[in-house]
Amino acid sequence: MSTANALRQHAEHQFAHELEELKKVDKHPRPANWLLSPWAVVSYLMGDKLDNGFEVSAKYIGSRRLMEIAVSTLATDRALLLYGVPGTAKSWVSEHLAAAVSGNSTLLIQGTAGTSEEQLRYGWNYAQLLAHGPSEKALVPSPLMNAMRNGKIARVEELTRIPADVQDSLITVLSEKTLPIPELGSEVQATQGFSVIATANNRDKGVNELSAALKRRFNTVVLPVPSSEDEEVSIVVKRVHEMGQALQLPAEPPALKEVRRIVQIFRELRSGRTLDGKTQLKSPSSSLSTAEAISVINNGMALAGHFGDGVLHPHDVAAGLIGAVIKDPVQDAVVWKEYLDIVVKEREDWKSLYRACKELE
Amino acid sequence: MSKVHYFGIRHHGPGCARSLVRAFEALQPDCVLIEGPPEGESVLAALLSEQMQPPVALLSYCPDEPRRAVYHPFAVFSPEWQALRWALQRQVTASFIDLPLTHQLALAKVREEEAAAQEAAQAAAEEAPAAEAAATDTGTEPSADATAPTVATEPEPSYRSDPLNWLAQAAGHADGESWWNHIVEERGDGEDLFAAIAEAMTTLRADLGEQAQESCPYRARRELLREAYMRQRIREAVKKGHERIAVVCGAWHLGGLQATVKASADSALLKGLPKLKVQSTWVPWTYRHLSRDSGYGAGIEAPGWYEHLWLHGQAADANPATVPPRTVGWLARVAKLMRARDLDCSSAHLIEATRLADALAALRQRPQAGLEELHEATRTVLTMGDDAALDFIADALLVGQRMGQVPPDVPTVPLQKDIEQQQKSLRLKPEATHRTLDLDLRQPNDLARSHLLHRLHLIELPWGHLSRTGSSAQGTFHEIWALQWQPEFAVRLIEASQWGQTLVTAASAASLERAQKAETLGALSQLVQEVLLADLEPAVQAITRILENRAAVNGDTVQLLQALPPLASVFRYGNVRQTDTGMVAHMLDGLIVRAAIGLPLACSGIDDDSAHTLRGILLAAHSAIALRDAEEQTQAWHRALGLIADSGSAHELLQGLAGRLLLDDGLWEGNDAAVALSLHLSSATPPLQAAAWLEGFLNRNAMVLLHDNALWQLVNDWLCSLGDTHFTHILPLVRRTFSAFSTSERQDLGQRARQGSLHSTTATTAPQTPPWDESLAALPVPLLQTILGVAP
Repeated sequence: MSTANALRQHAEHQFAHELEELKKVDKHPRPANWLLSPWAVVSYLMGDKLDNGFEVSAKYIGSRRLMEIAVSTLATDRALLLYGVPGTAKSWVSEHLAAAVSGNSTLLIQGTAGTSEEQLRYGWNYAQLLAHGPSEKALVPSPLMNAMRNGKIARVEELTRIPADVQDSLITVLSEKTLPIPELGSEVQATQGFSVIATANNRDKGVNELSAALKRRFNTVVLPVPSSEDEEVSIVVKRVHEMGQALQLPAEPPALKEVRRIVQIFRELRSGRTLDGKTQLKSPSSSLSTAEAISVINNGMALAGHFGDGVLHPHDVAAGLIGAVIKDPVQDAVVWKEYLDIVVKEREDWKSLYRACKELE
Repeated sequence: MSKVHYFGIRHHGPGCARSLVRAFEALQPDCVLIEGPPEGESVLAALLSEQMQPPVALLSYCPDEPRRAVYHPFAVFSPEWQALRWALQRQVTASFIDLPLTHQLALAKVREEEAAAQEAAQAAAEEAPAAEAAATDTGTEPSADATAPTVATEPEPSYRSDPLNWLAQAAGHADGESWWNHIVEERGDGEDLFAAIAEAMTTLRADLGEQAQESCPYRARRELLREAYMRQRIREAVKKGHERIAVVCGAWHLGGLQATVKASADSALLKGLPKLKVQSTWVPWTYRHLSRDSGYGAGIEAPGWYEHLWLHGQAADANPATVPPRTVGWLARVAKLMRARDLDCSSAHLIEATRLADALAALRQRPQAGLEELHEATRTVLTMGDDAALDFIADALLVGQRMGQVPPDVPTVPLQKDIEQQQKSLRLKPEATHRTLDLDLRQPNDLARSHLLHRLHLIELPWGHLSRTGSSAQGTFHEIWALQWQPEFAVRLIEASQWGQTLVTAASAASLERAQKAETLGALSQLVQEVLLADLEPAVQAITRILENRAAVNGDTVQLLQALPPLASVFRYGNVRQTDTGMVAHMLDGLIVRAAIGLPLACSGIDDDSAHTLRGILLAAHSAIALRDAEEQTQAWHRALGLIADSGSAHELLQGLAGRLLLDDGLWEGNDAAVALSLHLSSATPPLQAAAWLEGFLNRNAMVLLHDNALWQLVNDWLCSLGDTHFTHILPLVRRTFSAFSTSERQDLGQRARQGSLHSTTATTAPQTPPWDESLAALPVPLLQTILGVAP
């Protein structure tokens, strides 16, 4: 269980207070085994001012409709697939959904190329197995099995990285809502409230493409990159602030100007043209997500706090920025160099950033 | 309770329509007054006909100036339509009470004329005060500049175009459409609805007060007149002794109609309005033209969705127990469209999509899933979050391809009847969808269809577009047409009826008129071709005669030459169409002879640009004459070419070209060409002229040089025979000419030269490019267009 000085708190602990307040005012009908009503879950995600004056902070900044679709999906006990480019808050939304719906975001299976069927279904404690033969005691349940038993949400991260044959073992669970254990001649039936939230990213499309049968069992919500610069800036500022607190970074809150600049650079490189639409740019191979913008600022704040004067300056973010953009040392370096010399250099008040970046070359 | 009951509606709102019918059932009005043109009342009876299938539009036009026309579209879900049907079925008096179009169109005309006059006056005035302004510019101009832009940039107030937006914003919705859908159209209930709408609208109008006034004085006056007229008509109805009068009008007008204004004031306002003669009829309409994208002011976002709402409402009213939920019906449509386009969609998908849409509606606290919820459910469950698949079916789903139908006894111009008759007998139904028609001209029916389409083109009614252009299409006995009927053709038909009462007479008359106005012989002969394709025998004769007469007096050889290719292709391919080409042949021969006579003169004393233009025309005419293949004429033509080739006065480019054409036709021996070659490229010839000659002689065509052994030999021998000095002298000229060829062609030429004359025969036997058959290549084009989604 989590402790007070854990590096990162689980959502249900970090926002326990908000969940509690929402529970108090929540008068809407609640599906079986849900902590909150669907309405309150959306409020929790999007932020809201409750009738009693309590302010719920926004977890997801973006389209409310998307969150409504996600919550409705879970309410109709369908599995939810969150899809999008890396860094568009898929895991973040998944964690908070699980926290708000079942009060537990820890029933998590991390998908990798090495994920086996045991990790998805159940494994065996071999000492017990040898001593007593197949029995309930010797069974090691997976997070998925636990979620089914207790009517909770199970999370599968990076579904498309799991080998296809392993993926397909989810089909029975999702359609029949049962997990057979042939060795014991028994099964685990899902109790009400059970569902699965999976995440997958666009960039890995085709790695282990979901089978049509599995696809059909998921409702897909595509999480987009932030639609406007302002939206993106507010996401970055908010997350940096929260993480700064969690990591006890000594610097001042980041200067909005610097954040805006980073976001602008990211957006311009991502879309392949400058904001004024006048200059065509090459796009680097890196995905340049909002999450990376956040980490660039965080990184810069740490530098400023420990080695600088505590205020975020261009030279504090320059290293992180270059690291985020240049993922391929040959091609991306060309992209970045062009961007520096064509765009950054020409902008009157970006001179300091230009110099900082040039120094690092 | 007052005798007059007002029903403020939204044009084309299915919820309104449904509530309106219910309200009528409860009220049982004995007089129904509807915001619409009174001219339309004469054709109202047709509404009850079995064959009247909406969407249709009431078309009102000035018979004298058919371009002045107004459409009032109706769909099955339009409240006005339902009100009219309700009244007519029960033999209740139904009237249109809007300001007659007689006046509205006349007012528009007066305004246009005023604007034109003003413009003319301004243009005239601009010249005179230019001097004055120059003298006093410091005093007057700054002030004028300061006021002018503010008027111009003042934005059109959004509430005026869509007053609902204001109410929607107050209710926290993004736009008026979604708010109205949610509050009114997607709900089934509420006879009290109209009271609520009336209250909201009157309050809105009163609150906006001054702001609500039109900024444009012309439109403001028209609105005033319309409302005054409607008030008058309502007073009349009351005076006639009707007890329960139902007034159906756009919700915005409620405030105006209920305002207390003295009858005398209204009649004073309406006095002395200008008039124009107006006639009305019904024409078929399409959902596409009802949608907002078509530019229709009162257009709606998704006619397909509204139709579904209406049909579902009807079914639910008739039999509430058995009708499937609205959501399911809609998703079934989605599924059908997706399957028709080979996209996976199973029943299980639909079940899940329905559940999601219902859950979303519940979460948003709406009684039923609306269009937005259904879209989101479709995207989430059916298409894996992919918008592209949804876009793929969006048009068919939201707009739909439905096209209305009007009964045959609706008054129409005779021309339209004639065309409808032909469409029927040829089984060629006008459809709103885009479709491809492949006609085999050897079949009598297909030939008749082709004639029909060509004739419609002549009266500027482009129902079909010939997918393939140029002579290659006429060379085969196939014609591929892309057909799409546009409702606005109705007006074109009326315009075209000035030319005649049947399609044949109208098309003939229209083409004759064009022939008389045609400025060039080329245009005329093009017209002859079109008329021939349309099989208008009398017109062909008349236009041919015009062409002949013009050609006789026309001294411009270039025009004569331009007239040749279309006529030649008519002559050559006319037989496929069973047209009589004897007359064309006669005229063509006459033209060729005339052109041949004038040609040498036309080639003399012209500059480089004209020579280049003339080269293209000359080449086209040359192949046209080859098509005609008449001995005498060809001889005359060759004589003319010979004259040009030998004359010193014709432009060198054309001299070269003529020589080349003669060589190709076998009239020049190799020796003649060799002599000409060394003559024109001898060192005494000025370099530019020599270069032009060579360019003409090689005719921009490296391929022929490469593969025609004789020609190659000729050029090669000539080059090899040059002395060192002369060669150095001539080299830039040859280079210049060869630089027009592409790199690969030059490379091939170089290789050929390296092989030398000994091996030259091998090259001719191996063609380097496969033969390119344009007609074969054009076959997959319609399919590719369908796949790529581009209209031809």
